Amino acid sequence: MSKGIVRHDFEPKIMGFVCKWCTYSGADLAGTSRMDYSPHVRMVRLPCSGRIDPQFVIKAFEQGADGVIISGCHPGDCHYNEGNYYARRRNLAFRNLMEFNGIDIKRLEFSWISAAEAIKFTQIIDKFTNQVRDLGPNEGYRALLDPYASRLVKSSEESAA
Amino acid sequence: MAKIGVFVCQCGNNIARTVDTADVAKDASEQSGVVFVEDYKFMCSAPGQEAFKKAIRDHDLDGCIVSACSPKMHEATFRNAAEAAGLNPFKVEIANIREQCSWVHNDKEIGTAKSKDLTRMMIQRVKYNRPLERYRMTMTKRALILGGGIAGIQAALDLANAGTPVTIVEKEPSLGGNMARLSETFPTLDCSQCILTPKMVEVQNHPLITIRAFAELEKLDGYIGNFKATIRQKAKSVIDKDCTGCGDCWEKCPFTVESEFDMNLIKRKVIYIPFPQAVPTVPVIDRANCPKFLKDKCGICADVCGPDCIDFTQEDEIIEEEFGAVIVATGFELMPNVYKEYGGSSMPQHLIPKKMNKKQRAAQPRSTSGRLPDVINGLEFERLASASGPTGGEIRRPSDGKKPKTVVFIACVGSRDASKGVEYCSKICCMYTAKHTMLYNHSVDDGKAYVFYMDIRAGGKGYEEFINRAQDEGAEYIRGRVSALRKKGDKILVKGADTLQGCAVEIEADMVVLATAMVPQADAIDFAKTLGISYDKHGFYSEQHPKLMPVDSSTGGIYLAGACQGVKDVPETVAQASAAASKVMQLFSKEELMREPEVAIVDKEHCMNCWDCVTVCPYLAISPEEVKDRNGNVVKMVANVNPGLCQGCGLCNTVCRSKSIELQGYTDQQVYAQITAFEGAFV
Amino acid sequence: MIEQIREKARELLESGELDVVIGYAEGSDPTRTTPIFCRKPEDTDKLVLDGRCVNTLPAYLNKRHEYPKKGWKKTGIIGKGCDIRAITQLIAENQLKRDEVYIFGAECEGVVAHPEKWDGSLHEGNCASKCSACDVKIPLDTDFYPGEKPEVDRSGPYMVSAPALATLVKMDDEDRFAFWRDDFDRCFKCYACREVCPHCSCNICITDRTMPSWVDQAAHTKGVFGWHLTRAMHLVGRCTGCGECTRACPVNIQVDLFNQKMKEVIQESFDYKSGYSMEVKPPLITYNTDDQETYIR
Repeated sequence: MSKGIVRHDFEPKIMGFVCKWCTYSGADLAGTSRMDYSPHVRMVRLPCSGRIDPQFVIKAFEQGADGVIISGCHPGDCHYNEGNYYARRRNLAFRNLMEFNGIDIKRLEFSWISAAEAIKFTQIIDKFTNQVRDLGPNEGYRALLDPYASRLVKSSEESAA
Repeated sequence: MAKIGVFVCQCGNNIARTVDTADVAKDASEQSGVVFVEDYKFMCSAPGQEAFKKAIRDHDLDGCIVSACSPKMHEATFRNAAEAAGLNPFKVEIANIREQCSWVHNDKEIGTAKSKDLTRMMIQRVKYNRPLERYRMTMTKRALILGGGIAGIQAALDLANAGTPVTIVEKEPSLGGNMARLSETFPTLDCSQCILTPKMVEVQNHPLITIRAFAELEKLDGYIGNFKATIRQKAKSVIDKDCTGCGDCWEKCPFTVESEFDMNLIKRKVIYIPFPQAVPTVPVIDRANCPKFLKDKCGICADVCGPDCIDFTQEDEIIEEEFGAVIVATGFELMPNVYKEYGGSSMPQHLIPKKMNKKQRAAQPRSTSGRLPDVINGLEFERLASASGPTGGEIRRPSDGKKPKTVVFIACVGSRDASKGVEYCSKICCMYTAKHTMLYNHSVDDGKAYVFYMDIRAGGKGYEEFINRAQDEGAEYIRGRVSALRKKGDKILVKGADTLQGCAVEIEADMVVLATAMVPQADAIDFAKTLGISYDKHGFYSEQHPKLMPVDSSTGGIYLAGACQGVKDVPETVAQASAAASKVMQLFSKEELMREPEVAIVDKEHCMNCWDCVTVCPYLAISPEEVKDRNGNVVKMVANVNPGLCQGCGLCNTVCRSKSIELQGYTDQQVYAQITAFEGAFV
Repeated sequence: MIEQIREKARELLESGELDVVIGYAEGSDPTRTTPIFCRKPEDTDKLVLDGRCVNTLPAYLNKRHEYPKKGWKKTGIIGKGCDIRAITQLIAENQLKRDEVYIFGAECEGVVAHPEKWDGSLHEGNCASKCSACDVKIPLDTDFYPGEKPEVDRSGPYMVSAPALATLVKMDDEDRFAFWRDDFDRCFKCYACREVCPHCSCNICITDRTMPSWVDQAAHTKGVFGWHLTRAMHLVGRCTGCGECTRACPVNIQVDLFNQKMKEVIQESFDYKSGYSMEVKPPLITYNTDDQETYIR
């Protein structure tokens, strides 16, 4: 039997929104190359980083994510020529907004990962997972008063049980 | 209520080893709307697909999840199977639990938890997948070939012989590329030009092939089936249609500069064809060096020209043409000798900034003319050995024209060494170095050839035999690296190591030939951006799949041939060119093009015509449309998407504040469903 | 000044060139003014213009509202410099055509921060912070301006942010989060901030959309966070900083602090000022290949 992955007291929940041409393919390449990386991220496959709406990120945090990772093609490499340039601007504004709202911006990661950069993909995922693990649960957002919260999101203790 | 089927694939042991597929299936079965689950050994096998189809029919499923490998692998398989079973193919989604789960997480508990989550997210998503229909598109059945080397020539001939009109765009004044520079080819030692020039003539005479020599692609718009190319035909200063190629102009031209074709080993005229068998045989004036353009003096060529076709006022011409497919065959160049120990003089390759403008790049030395004039590279040796070359095929060294009595060949210069050059193996050097030793031994009877090598890589038909023959014919192979080249009188002292004997070696050579690495063209990355295709870190163009789609670029309708995709010898280049041509034929064999329906649609009721979507659309696919009442009065304007132009990037969906435009297949509702199904449980 | 505007407005209404003139009239108590729609020439006598005129009238020009749909071909509007920027922004976003409006402009001394602070005159103690570095006190684009319009240098930063912004930015994340959490706790989602905004022009607001409901409609704090983040994001590079959202808030949440923060970010990062040009595209629907990307790995 294979070796197990070390369990920590707190394991972050991370959502990923990625471009299918680059990062998703990079993740596939990491898979074909059997590279080990942190298992926390759940990725949503989108056609372009320009399709990643700030609403997705807000909803992911509302849904109980401790961190969100956004990734697209390197500048100049966008399959649609310019989608990632728009993404870059929009996320610059959005990060500032989140920060101003008091959300630790280290919980929101933006990176360029090409389809060939499987190693970079695993490094970024590992690094970000550790970073969010060190930050601890996104208590601020989770503690926001939401009468339906108990029905929508399982708290970390519940899901661990 | 949705009726969803979930099919969990074990992929033999690939998934089942680290994911408890039965548990994933059980968890899926507990989700609302799921009426059927299956845990199966190989979903993609024929019986697996049959089971998939049967479940759709038996349970009247209206949505399916296949939890298996990456959607890149089998999304099409299962969508087709669903279509055969009467379910709209776009109601099938793949949860990637192999590449992004079982293969990367070595812990069954954790892998299972992640697989459950990924499957659950897809179950929620598929509930909002709409049935979509593919679009039919017309296409322009003409092919554009970029580069007129052997790859471009082969692809053009294959396509034209199959009845497809082809245009070749070549930046140099003649077709031929690097292969025209070669003297003989391994492993048969037949003359390169003798086998290439008949093909060039065939291209020239083919009614379906248009040659645009001395031209460059400026811009490529559009998409598979309907590209629009903007080509700059550089001013030749010669009217092609009148020129007979008689040669009076270049014979009478009194000015000379170094010949690029002959690797700067000899001079050519200022009005010139690169080599005698050039196709087309139309000369061009090198305006940067012609006194007529520099100082308005001379003009002899115009005086001697019989058909009066010299036109000093000619300007670059911009041509716009439509094509259905593009083959990129832009070839390679040799890495410049940047190594001080090998007599090179410029900065090391890895210190040259990747982002240089064209001018800076042009200023980088192309040849090896460093401190030591008799240290040359492989292509320079080819010219020396070529019957049409500067020495008429006699091997004489560049500095004083003497026949070199001792020649040292150094393999792997710059290749297989990430710290000093490129990390890949340049692949063809072992073979051409062996060929060079033979050509040298045939030309200089009492000459002695030494080869410093790291390993001999001769994996090809007849290649190992060829190396043996080179050694039999007198080449002395020394396994080891060269540490320095020093000038000693009129000779070059080669200091190296023989690692088999375990001793230092010093050879006094008359000439040294470096097998420098094959690298992409200097402007390869800029050109990739013009085309919108992806490339690797060296600048070689990336194929869609390294094994199964070796000639498709990352962009539909653009195919790769030859050394622009990676290092190759001539036979491989030709094979890939033919493969690319057959891909184009396959594309053109259909009446119409089927387009994926993942395009944007507008909610006309709520569109508030701010035109943000119109502004951001990279394809100009969105335009304002009038909405009229029953009397024909315009009541408002809304956005309208042309599904033929839309490529499905979804930028419009993101910028629309009222969410009145959405990308089918990736709608907000689908993503929302995925997010809200996210639990992220670790175990 | 207002006399000349009244006169011109009366003239244009009499000649039928304008169907309506939107301006300010005396309000229900001496500290307030109220918007007035002058349909008849004699209505123009009621027009006033001074430091109490805080409302951003261009909100009425927004297509979302009923007013432009009454069949009025040409609307006159009295605008302070900042209001005229809002009009310019509306035109840039295709929500209004330039020839549909006739703009009466006048030099503006600034406006009072809140009507409650009005004591008969405008001074440092009661002037709104947005007015302190305003570079459109002499308005940009007008059809009628009493007297000669002087040239103004508008190259500098164009609005000063509220002092509260600087305090907030200096806080650490947790305190800032707590600040907003406490403020947002009061929000009951009356959407007054949306209704007064001249730039909220959607026929259907994202918060009113279901399938999917990106913004929780319920007024619990989580939904309120989502709403204000969404609102601020939608106004990036479009907000012209009138501050009406904060003034209209019945529970005193300083929602325009978000907009002010984003205004600073946009000006620093993309050198963009909203409401100064009908041609320049707002920053989020355009790009430069060399945009800042220090935050990207």
